[in-house]
Amino acid sequence: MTATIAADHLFRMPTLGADMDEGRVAQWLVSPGDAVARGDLVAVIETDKSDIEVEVFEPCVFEEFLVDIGELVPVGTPIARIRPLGPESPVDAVLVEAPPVDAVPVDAVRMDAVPPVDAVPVVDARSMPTDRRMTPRARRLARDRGIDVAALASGGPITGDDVLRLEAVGHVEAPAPPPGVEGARRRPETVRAAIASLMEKSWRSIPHYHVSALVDVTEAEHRLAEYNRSLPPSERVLIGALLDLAIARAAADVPECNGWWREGEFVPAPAVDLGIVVSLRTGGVLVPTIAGADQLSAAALMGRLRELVERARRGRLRGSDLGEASITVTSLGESSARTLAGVIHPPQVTLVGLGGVADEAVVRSGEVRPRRIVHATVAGDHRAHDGLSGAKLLDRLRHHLEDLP
Amino acid sequence: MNTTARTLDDMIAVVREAIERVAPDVDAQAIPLAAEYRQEAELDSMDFLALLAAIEDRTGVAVPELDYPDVMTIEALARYLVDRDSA
Repeated sequence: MTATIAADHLFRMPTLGADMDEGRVAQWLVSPGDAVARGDLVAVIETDKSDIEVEVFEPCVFEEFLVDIGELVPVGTPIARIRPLGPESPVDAVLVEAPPVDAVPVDAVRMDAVPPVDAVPVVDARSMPTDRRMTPRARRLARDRGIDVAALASGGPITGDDVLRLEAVGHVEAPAPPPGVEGARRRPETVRAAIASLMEKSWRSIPHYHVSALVDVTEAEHRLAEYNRSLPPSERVLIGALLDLAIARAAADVPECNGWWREGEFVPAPAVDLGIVVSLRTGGVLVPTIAGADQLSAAALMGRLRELVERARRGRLRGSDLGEASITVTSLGESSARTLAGVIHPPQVTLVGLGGVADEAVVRSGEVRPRRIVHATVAGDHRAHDGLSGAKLLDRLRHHLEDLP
Repeated sequence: MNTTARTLDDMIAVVREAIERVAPDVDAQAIPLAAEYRQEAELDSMDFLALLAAIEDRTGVAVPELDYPDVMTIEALARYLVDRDSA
C-alpha cells in the first residue's frame, strides 16, 4: 500500500498488495461531480487476484474519469481528476493515500458503506458493455463456468438464475477480448499464477527451516463452548480465531519472527499485522491482513476474520484489507490432515501452519488421556532467525491460548 | 415472528436457500435430504456459522452449538426448525 495521489489532484491506480503492477477499473462507485467523505468506497479495481473496493482517505469531489472501464493501466497511472474538500485540506496535501499499515484503525472499514450484495451493479470488464449490470452471484457463475452473458437480452440486472438458464440452453462462445485488454482473464488461473510467482520466489530465495509442536486445545474448546453458549451464530467465535489471536500475541513476544527481510537484513515490524490465508471456493487463496491483530479481543478478531473471509470469497476485498502483513498464518481448518509445513510469503520471515483439530492420546502425569490437539508448524527464514525462535513462538502461542477467549 | 407455523417443506426450502446464499456455486436442490450438507456443499466452520446466521434471520431460531450434531442433514435441520418454530 503506497501513496497513490499527490499535489496534482489526481487519483491514481493504487498498489493493492506488493505483487501488483497494474490493474483496471472494473466499476466506478461514484459519478463525476460526486463529493465523497473519508472512507467512502469509490471504485472497484480489478487485479490479477481479485476485485478490490478502494476507499478515499480525504474528502474530495470526483470531477472526471481518465481511464475507460476495463482498461489495463500500470500502478500510479492517473485514473480520475479530483478536487479536495474541506479547509483542513491543504492544496498540496497528499489527498488520497493508503495510510501506513500500523495507522489503520481496526474499525476504519465502514461497514455501512457497503451496499447489500445483490444491489451492487457489477460490470464484467472482460466482455460486457459498460452499461450492463450483473449481480455478484451472476458474475461469479459466469466467470467460473465460462459462460458468456452477452447473449442475454438487455433489461434489468443479470441474475445468477439468468446465467444458469443460459448455461442450461448452451451458451455462445465468448467473443475475442477487445484490443488492449490482453487475455480475457479467467480469475482462478490468474490467482494460480500469482501464487505460483510468489511461492517460486520464496522457495528460490528463502532458506526455510520448520519446527513443529502439538497444541492442546481441549481447555480452550471448553471455554469457547461456554463463551458461545448464549451467543447467536453471528457472534460466536471459532477455535481458529483463538489460535490466530494466540499466534499474533506470540509474534509480539518474539520480535525476530515478526517483520521483513529487506536488502540483506532483518527489519522488525512496528506492529503485528497478521496475514490470513483464505481459501476460495473456486480454488486458490487470498491473503488479507488484520492490522494490529495482537491488540484485539477474541470477539474483535473473529469479527474481522468473518468480514475478511466473506469479502475474499465474494471477490470484493478492500484496499484497507490488503495492508502488508508482518507474519502469516495458514490453516487446514477442519481437514483431517494434521500438519502443514508451509512456505513463507516474502519479504516476511515467518509463517505458521495449523493442521486440523483432532483427538489424540496424550500422556499426562503418567496416564494416557484423550485430548484435542492441533499441530502447529513454524516455517522460518533461517537468514533472519533460528529454530529456537520458532520454538519460542510456539511456546508463546500455547501460553497465550490459555487466556483465551 | 410468524403467525402461522411453517411446514417441513417450508423449512427445507429455507435451509436450501440459506445454503445457496452461503455457497452461491452450489445447487442445494441437488443435495439429498438425508445427506450431510456440510460435506456436500463443502462448508467450512465459517460458512456453517454464516448458514446458521442466515437461518436465524429467516426463522428467528438460533441453533446452539450443543445441538450441532442434531442438524447435520437438511431434513434434520428442517425438522429442528419446525419444532422450534411452533414452540
